[in-house]
Amino acid sequence: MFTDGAAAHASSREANMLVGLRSRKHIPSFDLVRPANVEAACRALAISGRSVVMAGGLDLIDRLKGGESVDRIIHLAGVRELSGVRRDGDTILIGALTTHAQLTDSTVLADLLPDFPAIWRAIANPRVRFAGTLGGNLMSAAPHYDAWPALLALGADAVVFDCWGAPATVELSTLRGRDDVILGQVRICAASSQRRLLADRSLHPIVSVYLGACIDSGTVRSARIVAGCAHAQAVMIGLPVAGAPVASLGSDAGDLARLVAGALPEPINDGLASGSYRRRMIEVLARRLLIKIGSPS
Amino acid sequence: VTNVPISVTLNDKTHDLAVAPNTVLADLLRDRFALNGCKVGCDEGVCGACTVLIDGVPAAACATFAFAVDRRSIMTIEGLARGVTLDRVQSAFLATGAFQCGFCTSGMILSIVALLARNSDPDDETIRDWLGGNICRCTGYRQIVDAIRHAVQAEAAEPVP
Repeated sequence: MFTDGAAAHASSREANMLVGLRSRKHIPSFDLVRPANVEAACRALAISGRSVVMAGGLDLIDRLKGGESVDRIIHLAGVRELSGVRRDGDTILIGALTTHAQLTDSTVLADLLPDFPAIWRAIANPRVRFAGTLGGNLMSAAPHYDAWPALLALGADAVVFDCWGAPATVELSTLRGRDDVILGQVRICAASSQRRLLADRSLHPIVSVYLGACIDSGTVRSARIVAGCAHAQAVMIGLPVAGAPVASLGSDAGDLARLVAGALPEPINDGLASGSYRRRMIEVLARRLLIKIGSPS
Repeated sequence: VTNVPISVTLNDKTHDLAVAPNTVLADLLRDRFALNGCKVGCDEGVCGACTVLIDGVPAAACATFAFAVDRRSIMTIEGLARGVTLDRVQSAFLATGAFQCGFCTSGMILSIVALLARNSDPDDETIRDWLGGNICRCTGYRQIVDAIRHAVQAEAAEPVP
């Protein structure tokens, strides 16, 4: 039989067991900064201590529940200039705070790059699409997320702000792991030629494959395959098809897909799949996408 | 670390309060307002049991900081009925037996309310997409889809907010 103290101890222990190792109850305390513009957000980034930027917050809260500790969260919800999709000449500008739902509803994307919202309608579920942002998806850099492979396939780059508020245009690949900058916008070229983006993925987060192509009057200007989920970060392989008729992507799909699979670094082995299985699936999905883009329909 | 002042409209009533920055919305609703219809299942924003409507949009209360709902309107399952008149989705769940253990039900109902507010007659693909964010381990979803069809056909006792 427990004494009162022992009973209380057991009760406390049971409560802790229920909380487990990962819980919202474990989120450490932090200071909150709610800037109204990019300049104020950058100033907060310059304060000593560990600051993290929060957009939709889905991934950040998840990390904090796992015990990650930060001194300060910079909540960007009030920085309206970082939201929305617009066209500037030959460039599509997507603000980092643009939600997935806004991407699927964007008239700019529907006009200039209709493949993108069509693909984005199928990611996650409505609750995530309403809250999650393109910037959050990119900066969280989870290997199975879609923003990296999709935007790499489109040849996008990004505008970032450093702690002094100075903007700089950078390649997407330089963003991974950066917590010293604020992502402002993603830029996608929307020049006169037709931009295509096709995607396929496994049901479980084993592989995702994105095909981006620039096509002008039935001729391929450039094309690339990006494999997601299979490596620590998405891997892009350029296809040697510049100047070829778009139909040849379909007729040569098998050879091109083999070339892509052979050029990949060794994919990861984990509890979901082996590296060789992932490589094989990337080849299969790449071939399907190439056949699809090369078909007359 | 200092508490953060927020003003939130909760089930049509405005509250001004201060919250610790690390408080999530689910705990604010359950611990301070005893709105226990907001269930916490996975605590990862995946299962949908904690779904509430923020400005009419479904959101996972376990994956939303309380400070993030400042100046926004929250609806929980407790605020859906109008007096003793159930919302048409609640009535449809009763009519079709669309729940068993009931743990997912409040989140499921609020997601469907949000769906029907955007699409008064959703097709099967849209329904599957929306229910993809709410996990039910009892019904197999068939009765829930039946409830959506029932709600679409039913005369709403009160307008859906």
